[in-house]
Amino acid sequence: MLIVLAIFHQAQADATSNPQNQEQLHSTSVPAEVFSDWRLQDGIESGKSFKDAVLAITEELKPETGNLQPRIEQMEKAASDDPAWEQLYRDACTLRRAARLRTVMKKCPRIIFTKHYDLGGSHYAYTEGQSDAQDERTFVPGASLCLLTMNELFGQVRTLINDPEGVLRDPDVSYDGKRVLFAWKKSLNSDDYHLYEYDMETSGVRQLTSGLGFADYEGIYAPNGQIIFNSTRCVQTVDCWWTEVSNLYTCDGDGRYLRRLGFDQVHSNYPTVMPDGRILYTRWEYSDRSQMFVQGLFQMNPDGTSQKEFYGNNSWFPTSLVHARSIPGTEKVMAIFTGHHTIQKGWLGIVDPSRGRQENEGAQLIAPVRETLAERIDFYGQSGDQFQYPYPLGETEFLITFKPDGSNAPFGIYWMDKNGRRELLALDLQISCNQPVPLAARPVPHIRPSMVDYRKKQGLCSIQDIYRGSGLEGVPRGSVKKLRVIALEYRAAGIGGNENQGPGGEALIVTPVAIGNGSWDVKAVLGEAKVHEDGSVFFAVPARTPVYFQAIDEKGHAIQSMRSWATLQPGEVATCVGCHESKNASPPVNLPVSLAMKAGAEQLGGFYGPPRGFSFPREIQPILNRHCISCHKVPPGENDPPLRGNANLPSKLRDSAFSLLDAEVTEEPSKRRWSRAYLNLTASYRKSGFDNKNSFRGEPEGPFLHWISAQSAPPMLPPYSTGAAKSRLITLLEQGHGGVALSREEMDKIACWIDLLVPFCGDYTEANAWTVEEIERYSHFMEKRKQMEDIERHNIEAWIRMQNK
Amino acid sequence: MLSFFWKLYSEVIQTSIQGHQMNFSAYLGCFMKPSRCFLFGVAIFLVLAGSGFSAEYIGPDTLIASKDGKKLFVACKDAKELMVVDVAGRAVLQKISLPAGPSGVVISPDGKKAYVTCTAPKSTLCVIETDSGKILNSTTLGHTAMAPAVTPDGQRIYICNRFEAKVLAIDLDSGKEIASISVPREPYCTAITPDGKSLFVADLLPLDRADGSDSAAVITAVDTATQQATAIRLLNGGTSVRSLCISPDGKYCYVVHILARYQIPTTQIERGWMNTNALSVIDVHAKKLINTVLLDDVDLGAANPWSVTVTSDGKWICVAHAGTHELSVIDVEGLLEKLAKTGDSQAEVPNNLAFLVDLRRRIKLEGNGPHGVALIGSTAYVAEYFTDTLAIVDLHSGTKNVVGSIALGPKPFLTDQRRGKMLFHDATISFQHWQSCSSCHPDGRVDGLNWDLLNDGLGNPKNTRSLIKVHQSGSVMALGVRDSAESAVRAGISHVLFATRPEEDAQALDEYLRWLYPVPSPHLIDGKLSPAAERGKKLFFDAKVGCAYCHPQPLYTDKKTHDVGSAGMYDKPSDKFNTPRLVELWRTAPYMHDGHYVTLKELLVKGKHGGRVGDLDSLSEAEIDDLVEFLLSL
Repeated sequence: MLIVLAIFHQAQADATSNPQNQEQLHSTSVPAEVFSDWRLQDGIESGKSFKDAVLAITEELKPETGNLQPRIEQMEKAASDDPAWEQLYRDACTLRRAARLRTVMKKCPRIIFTKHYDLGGSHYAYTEGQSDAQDERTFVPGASLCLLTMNELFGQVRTLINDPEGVLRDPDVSYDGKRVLFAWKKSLNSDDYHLYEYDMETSGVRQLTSGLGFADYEGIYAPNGQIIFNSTRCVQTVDCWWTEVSNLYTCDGDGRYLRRLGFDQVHSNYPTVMPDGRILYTRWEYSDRSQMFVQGLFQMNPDGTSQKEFYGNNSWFPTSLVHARSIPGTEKVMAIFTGHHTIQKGWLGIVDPSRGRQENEGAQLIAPVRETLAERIDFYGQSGDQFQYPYPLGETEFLITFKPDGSNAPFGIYWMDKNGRRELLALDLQISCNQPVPLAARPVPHIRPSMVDYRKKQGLCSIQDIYRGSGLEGVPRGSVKKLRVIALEYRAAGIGGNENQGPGGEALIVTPVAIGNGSWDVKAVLGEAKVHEDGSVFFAVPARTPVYFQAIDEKGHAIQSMRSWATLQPGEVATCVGCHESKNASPPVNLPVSLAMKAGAEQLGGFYGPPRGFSFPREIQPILNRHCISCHKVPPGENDPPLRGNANLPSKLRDSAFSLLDAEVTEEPSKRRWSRAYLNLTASYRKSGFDNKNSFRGEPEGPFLHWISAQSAPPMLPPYSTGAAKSRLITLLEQGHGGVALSREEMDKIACWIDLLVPFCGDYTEANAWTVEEIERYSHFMEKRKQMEDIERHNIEAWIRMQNK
Repeated sequence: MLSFFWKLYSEVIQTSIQGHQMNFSAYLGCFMKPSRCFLFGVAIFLVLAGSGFSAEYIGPDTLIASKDGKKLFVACKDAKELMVVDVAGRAVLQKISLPAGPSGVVISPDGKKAYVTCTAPKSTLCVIETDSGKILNSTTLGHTAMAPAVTPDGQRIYICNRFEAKVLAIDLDSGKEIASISVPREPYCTAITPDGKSLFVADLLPLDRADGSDSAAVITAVDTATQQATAIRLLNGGTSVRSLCISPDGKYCYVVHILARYQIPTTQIERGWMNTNALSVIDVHAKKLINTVLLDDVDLGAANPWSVTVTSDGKWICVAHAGTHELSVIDVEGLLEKLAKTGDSQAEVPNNLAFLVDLRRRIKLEGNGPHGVALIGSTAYVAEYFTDTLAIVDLHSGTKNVVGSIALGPKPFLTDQRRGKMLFHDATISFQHWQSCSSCHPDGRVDGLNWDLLNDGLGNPKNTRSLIKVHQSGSVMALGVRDSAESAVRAGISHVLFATRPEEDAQALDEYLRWLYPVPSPHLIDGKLSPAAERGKKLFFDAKVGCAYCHPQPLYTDKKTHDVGSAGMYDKPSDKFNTPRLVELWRTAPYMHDGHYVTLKELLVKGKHGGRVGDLDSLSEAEIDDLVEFLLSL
C-alpha cells in the first residue's frame, strides 16, 4: 500500500517560526494539485474519458504495466463513464509517476528550490531592484528557500528560510552537496541582494558579500573554489533604459578578493558551470547594432579569460536565451527561449552549437519537440505552456519550473521529459515555486588553472590571418593595412535621452553621446596595429577593458567592424585565426608562424595622440574650422530651423552652402549641446519617436555620410557595406571640394569619426545641457563607480599577495 | 609493514619491467638468505593476491578474432603472452608465453595459424597453431618488428621492422625474405587489400624539417606484385599514425592519426588549437588522400586514436580512442556521401569539428586505454591496455553499448610508475580531452614537430624533445626555461593540458619518465658499435673535433646552455640553447631546437654544428659519415 505524502503550501507559514518544521501530511489520496495536473495533461479536462486515458497510460508504460492490464480486462465490459475507471486512472497515473520519477528518486531525491515572484521587469534582465535605483525597480517582497524531499512518490517540502519582506533567489548547491549559495535582499530600500550561504548540516546562514547600493546575485560555485556572480558594482546604466547594469564578478568562497570579470556594455546573466569547467551565461549586447536581437549565450573560463560567443551573436533568433544549463554527457545546453521586453519565462529548447551558432541552426524547441522557426519577435515564446529554469538530468529528462497553458496557478516545480510528459513535484498556490537544483554531491567539473596574472596590465592579442573568416569574405589579400583597436566606455547614469530607429528596431538612448542612430557609447581609439602581408596582427591591449576591432584599408577606411567587443584579462594571450572565423573549426593546418608573431607584440600608439574618447568638437570641428567654415558659415539662426536633414527643406537650401560652424544647438530631450556642423553633417532632423521625444535623429544613409546604424541588423554585414568608404563627404574631400586639401591626419580623423558611428561626445559629460541637480547626479554615480573601483583595486592587490605567498 | 612489502615488491616489478629481468628472488637475495627470501616473497604475493590486485601487468594491446569468431587472440604486451579468449564463455582459455612482448598478431587465411611478432632489438615471428596454441616455429626478425599482415592467398607475410624503417616481405613456405621495402620512418601499421594486390603501410611519425611549411607522416602503398612503393603524404601536421585498415570492398584505406596544428602558438587547446584527432580516407585505387575528417567534437576532443577497423559488412568504422577511453562508431555510407558532397569546401573539411555530427556515436568505455579492436559481427572487442580488460561493445545504436567486460587477469594494482604511464596517456585529465602528454611525446619520445609554447615567448616554436633521461638533465626545454624536469612536468600539466592535478599525479608522471629506458640503437651490431661507429666514436671524443666538450658522457650533455650559432629564423639573437642529450639520437629527428635538419649529416655539414667549439671543417666526408654513425648508435 502506497503511503502518499502530500506537499505544499500550508507548511511555509509555520516554517517561519520554526525553520526545522517538517510537514508530513499523511493521506491515502493523491494530492489534489497533482491529480488536477494529471487530468490536465491527460486531456480529462478537455473531455477525454478516464478509460481512454488509462489505455494511453498503459501504452506509455509498456512493458512495465504492473497490474493494469488484468484490471483493464476486468473492466472491459464496464461503461466508459463507470466511476471505477476514475480509480483505475488514479492508480495508473500513480504507477506512471513511479516510472517517470525513477531518475529523480534515484539521483536527486532532495531538491532545493525557491519561492519568489516571477523575475523580470520591462526587460528580462531587470531584476536587481537596487535600493538606489535610478528608475525602474522590480521587487515583490515575500520569498522562501525550500527543500523538497522525494523519499516517497509525493514529496515533502521543508522551508529553510522564509522572508516575507525580502526576496531569496538563485540557489546553487556546492559540489559536496552540503551548502547552498543564494542571493537575498531583505528589504526594498535598506538592503540589496547579496550572496549568502546556507549550511545544510547546521542550518546556519552566513553572508558572503555586502554593501548597500550594490546588488550581488545569481551566484554559482566555480570548480576552482571561487564564486562567480552577477553584480551592479560596475555602476553602469543600460544604454537604452534607466536601469542598472549587472556584469559578472568573482570572489573566493568567503566573499573575499571580489573583482570584476566581465566589462560589458549591458547585462550578463545567469552564469552556470559547464561540465568542462567553462562558465556559460547570457550576454546582452548591442554595440553598433540593435538592442533587441539577440540576447545570446556566451562562455568564459572561471578566471574571466576566453570570453567568447557560444550561441547567437549574429542572429535575430532566439530573441533571448536565458537560464541556460549544460545537458550532462553532451555538448548541448538547455535554455529558455524568450523575448526582449518580457520577464524570465518562455519556451524550452535545446541549443547544440555543433549544428551551427546562428538563428535556428542549432536551436530546437522541446516539450514537445517541434519545428523551430527562426523568427523575429520581441515578445517571443509568451503563449502556451511557460517554462523557466531547466535543470537537465540527462538529454531527455529534467527538472523545470513550469506553468501549463491556461493554468491560473503560479509556476510550480516539475519533472519533465523532452516530449513534455511531466509530474508535478511542488506547487504553492500563493507564490511561484522556482529555480530547482538537486541537493546532492556531484563531480567537480574540470579545474582549469588560471592564466591570469594580475601583476600585468595588458593582454596580448594575435590574429593569424585576418582574411580567413566570413568577416572579410571576398576582400582581396593585401587590402587590410591596419587593425584599429577601440575601447568602449560606458555611462554611469542615465540623464536625457533620444531615440534611434533602423533595421533592428528602435530604442531610447539615455545619456546619448550622438544623435539618434549614432554611436551608443563613447569610443576611444587605442591605436592601429599593423596588419602584415600574411594577414597577421599581434598587439598588446589594456586588460580588463572592452575593446573592438576594425579592419582598415590604405585610405584609413573601415572595411569591416566588429559590432561586439572582446575583453582580455591581465596576462591573457588570445589568439584568433581570422576575422570572425567559424567557432566550429580548428585553425587551418597550413598556418606558418606569422610575420606578426615574428615581429613581436606591437604596443598600440594611440590615434594621432594618446587614447581619448572620440569627440566631434575636439577632433572634427577644428578641421572644419581650418578648411570649411570660410564658405560654410551660415550664421546661426539663418537656416535654423530647418536643418540639412529635414526632407522638407527646399532644394535650393539643400544645395547651398550650409553651416559647419560650431554654433550650439541645445536639444532638450537629449540634454546635449550639439553643434550646427554636427547636425548638418549627420543630416539630423527632429523626430517624434515612440516615446514622443522629438529629439535629433541622424540619417545613416544621408547625403554626406553613410555609417553603420546603431539599429543595424544583427547578422554579419558584408565588408565595405557602409562607413567612410561609402560616404560622399570623403569623396568630395578627396576630389578637392571647394579647393580644400586636407592632410592625411585630417582625412583619417574624419573617416574614423564616421566609422565610429559619428559620436559627438568623447565623454559622457561633454557638451551636456544638464541642470545642477543632473550634474550632481551623474557625479554621484561616477563617484560611486570610483569607490567600487578603489575597493576592487585593493582586493586585487590582496589577491596578488595571497597568490604569491 | 605492508607498505614496506609493497614498496619492495613494486621496486622489483619496476626493475623487472625495465628489461633487466632481475627476478624476485635474485633481488631479495641481495640481502637475504635464499630460503627466507622465498618465504618473504610468498608472503608478499599472498598479501597482494588476497587484495585481489596484481602489480604484474598484462597490457592487452592488439587482438584478432579467429575465423569462426569463437576465439580472440590477444597480444598482451606486458605479460609477453598471447592470450586465447573464449568468446562465448568470456574467459581466458589459454596463455601462450612468448619470447618478447607481442606487438602484432594476424591469422592465416585458413584460420589454422596465428603469426605473432614479438618485439625486441632482435624480434621474433612466432607461428602458433590456433587450435592447440603450440608455437610451431620461430623466425628471427629485425629491430622492433610489428604489424604483421598476411596476403589473402596465405603465401606471404609483411612485417614492419619499425626502427629499421623497413617493411619485409617473407615467403611463408620457405621462410625467406622476398623483399625489403624502405619507408621514411618507423613503419607502424599495415593493411592488405582484399584482392591482395596492395599493401598499405603507415609511418608513425613524419620525417621532415619541422620549421618548414609541411611536415607529415607518410603512408606507403606497396604493389605486392612488384614491391613498388608509392608515398601518400598525410596533411601537414599528420603524426602519431597508429592504425589503418581497408574497407571490405577494397576501395578505401582508413587511417587514424593526430593532426597537429603545430604552427600556431599554444595559447589554448580548445577547438583543437594544438592537437586534433583525425581519420584520413585514402582512395586505394588512385593511391591518393581523399580527405581528412576530424574525430573530435566542437568542445570535446577525441584524443589519441589508436586503432581503426571496419565491420565486415562495411557499414561502420570503429575507432578506439586511447586518450579518452572511447570507441567511435562512424556511419561509412554517410561519411563517404558527405565527403563526396563537400565541393568547394573540401579544403575546410580537415578543420571542421562538426563534420561527423549525426554520422558518429561516441561510446564511453569502462576500461582505460583502449588500443586494439576486433570485430565479430556487430560486436566489438576492445583491448583496454591499462585495466587489463576487454570491453565487449554492441555497435547497434539505441542500445546499452557496453554489454560486458572480460578480465584478462586480476585487477592491476597501479604502482606510481604505472599510474604515471597511465596518466601520461590519459587525455581525460586535459581540458576538454584534447590531448595527453603522449600526444606530443609518443612513447615518451618525439612527434617530429615544433611547438610554440608560451614559456619562452611567442613566435619561436621549438622541436619536441624526447623525455628519455630528462630527469637527469638539469634544466630543461630548449632555452632551459624550466629548472628541472619536475618543474616542466608540472608546467606541462598547467600550460599544455590546462589542468589542475594533485601533486601525486605529477610525482607519478615523474616516476614514469624516470623509468623510461633507452632502446638499443638499430645501428648497433649485436649490441655493439659497428666499425664505422667505432671510428666515429674516436672522432667524437677527439679534443680537436670537440663534440664531447658540450656532449660529455653519460648522457652526452653538459647540462648547460650555449650559443653555438644555431639560432634559426624565429630565435632571438640573445638566445642560448640547452645542450640536448644524445641518447637515442637515432630516433629523435628532426634535429636542433627548431627541427631545422632532417639528418645529422645535414646538421654537421650544412649547419656546421659544433664548428664554434671544434674543428669539423677538416673532417673528410667519410669521417663525417663515421661520426654520424656513432651518433646514431647512441
